[in-house]
Amino acid sequence: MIRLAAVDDDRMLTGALGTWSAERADMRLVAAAETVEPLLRRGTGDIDVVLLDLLLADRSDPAENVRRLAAAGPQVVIVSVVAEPGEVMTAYTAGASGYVAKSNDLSELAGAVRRIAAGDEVCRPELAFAMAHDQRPERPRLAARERQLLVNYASGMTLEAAARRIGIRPSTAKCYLERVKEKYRRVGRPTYTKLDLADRAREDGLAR
Amino acid sequence: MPQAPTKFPDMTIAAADRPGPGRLMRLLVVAVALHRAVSFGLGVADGPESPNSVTATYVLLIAWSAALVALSWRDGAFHPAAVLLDIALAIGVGLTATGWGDSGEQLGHRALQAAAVIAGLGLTVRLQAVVLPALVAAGLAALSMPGPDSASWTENAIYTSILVGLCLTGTLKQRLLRSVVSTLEARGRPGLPAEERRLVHDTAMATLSAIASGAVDSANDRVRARAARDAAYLRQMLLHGRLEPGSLAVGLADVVADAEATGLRVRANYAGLPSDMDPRVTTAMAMASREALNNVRRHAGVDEAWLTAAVEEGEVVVRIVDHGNGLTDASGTGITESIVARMREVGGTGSVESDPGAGTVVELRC
Repeated sequence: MIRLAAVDDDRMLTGALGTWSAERADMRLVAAAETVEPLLRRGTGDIDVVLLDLLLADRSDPAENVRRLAAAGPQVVIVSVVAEPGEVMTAYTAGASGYVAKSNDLSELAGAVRRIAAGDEVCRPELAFAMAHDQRPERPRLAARERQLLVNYASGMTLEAAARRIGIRPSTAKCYLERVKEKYRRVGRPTYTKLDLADRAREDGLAR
Repeated sequence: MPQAPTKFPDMTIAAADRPGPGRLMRLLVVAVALHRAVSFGLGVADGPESPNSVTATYVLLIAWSAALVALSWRDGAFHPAAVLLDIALAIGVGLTATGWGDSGEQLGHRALQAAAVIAGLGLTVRLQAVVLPALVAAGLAALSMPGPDSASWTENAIYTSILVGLCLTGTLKQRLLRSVVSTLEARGRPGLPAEERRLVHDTAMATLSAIASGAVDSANDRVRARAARDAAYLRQMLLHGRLEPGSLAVGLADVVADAEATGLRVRANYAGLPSDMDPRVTTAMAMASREALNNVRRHAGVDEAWLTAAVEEGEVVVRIVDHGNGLTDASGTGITESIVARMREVGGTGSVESDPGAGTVVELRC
């Protein structure tokens, strides 16, 4: 049983999620808030996963929201209607466990949350899309093969098809995705220096 | 229906279908009417002391001016053809009336001056450059007609400067008015440019209003497809701060909406699409995408497809992917041809990869 909380100013979504999860045995919405603050004040001890809308009405910083919620304990899954890849990845690297587009049906959303919570979700296509098209200077550097795999997988191919298309095994493809996510996690930790950034900028310039 | 000026469409100063500029332009029409009423009216009032031909010409000029003013008032603009006719008339009067004595000479000058004013107000500078010398020449010719007093060169210079000055004043008024109008228009529509406002108005606004009024059921598939398309439009606006009607993003949003209206679930993702693409490329990509989605619906045997569009290594790449049956030879050749040919025509490439049972990948690059 996954105990969910939603931080979202879209009451239609939180309402629907509440009704929907009430009929499911393995998932329950235990709290809903429009911003991060009230949820943290309420306490997060009984929450496994927080669904966090990327852009909240109080214009709070998405990355900061992720950091605070993740620090409080629960896994954070970012949800969003509209998202620019750089925005998604900035928030994701602040410590989120996943990213799911709101254009998914409720059951798909729930399925994704279930897999993310269980650690079974390697990488959703929408997260792959954000990673593949992230243009921020502080993005991690991806190997050409990793990028090819990401682009193919992000365009809707199954992981098997995406792997076959660039001539690698599906198991290798899975490793690639894990490796890319690990690179992002490392970027999320503030270990990179200005020198790294300068290197990256120079590489970008050369690559162009 | 006011007839749109057809002969000189690009020289029309203010369009009649815009109430704002039309209303302001009518102020100038009133000024022209007053000037002519006083100028020509005085001529008629002098009637008893003037030859009949002079009085009759004044009456003719008043009648013509009334028609010109009525036409300009209706259109909220000085019709260039009417202005040119007025000028021709004035030149004719100027050259003819000078033979009718002092009052005739005065009649000619009044007609020419009134024409100079309206040339400034109603013509482009390029046309003025043609018309004004003709007016001045007619005026000078009238002055130098043999008579009791022949004009000196100073009188000629003064006369020339009066006509030029009147025309210039008209031009300045016209310019000023246009700048005021454009300022007012800019103030009247904060935020989005007109085209984009219209698009939002015709799509998202219309859809939401229909749902809000209870006229349509939001669970209806067609309504949902429309809402999805509108959401795609709005998403573009949020991501790029703009929504260009001819852009690839808008074209693809339409294609996706149409496909969803037929029951296909399309998962669309766009990133960083340039806004300055060649419209031919945009159209080709949208049409090829439509073709690819049609094919998913007809042959793939699935109800789900993915459409992504982004820039990869400087190229715009659109992919349409499904997990369906894959193409057989029978279904494949037509679509492959139409997609590949369409992209080749605009200098891009299109490819269709398909393995039976393993889905299809359509890739468009340009």
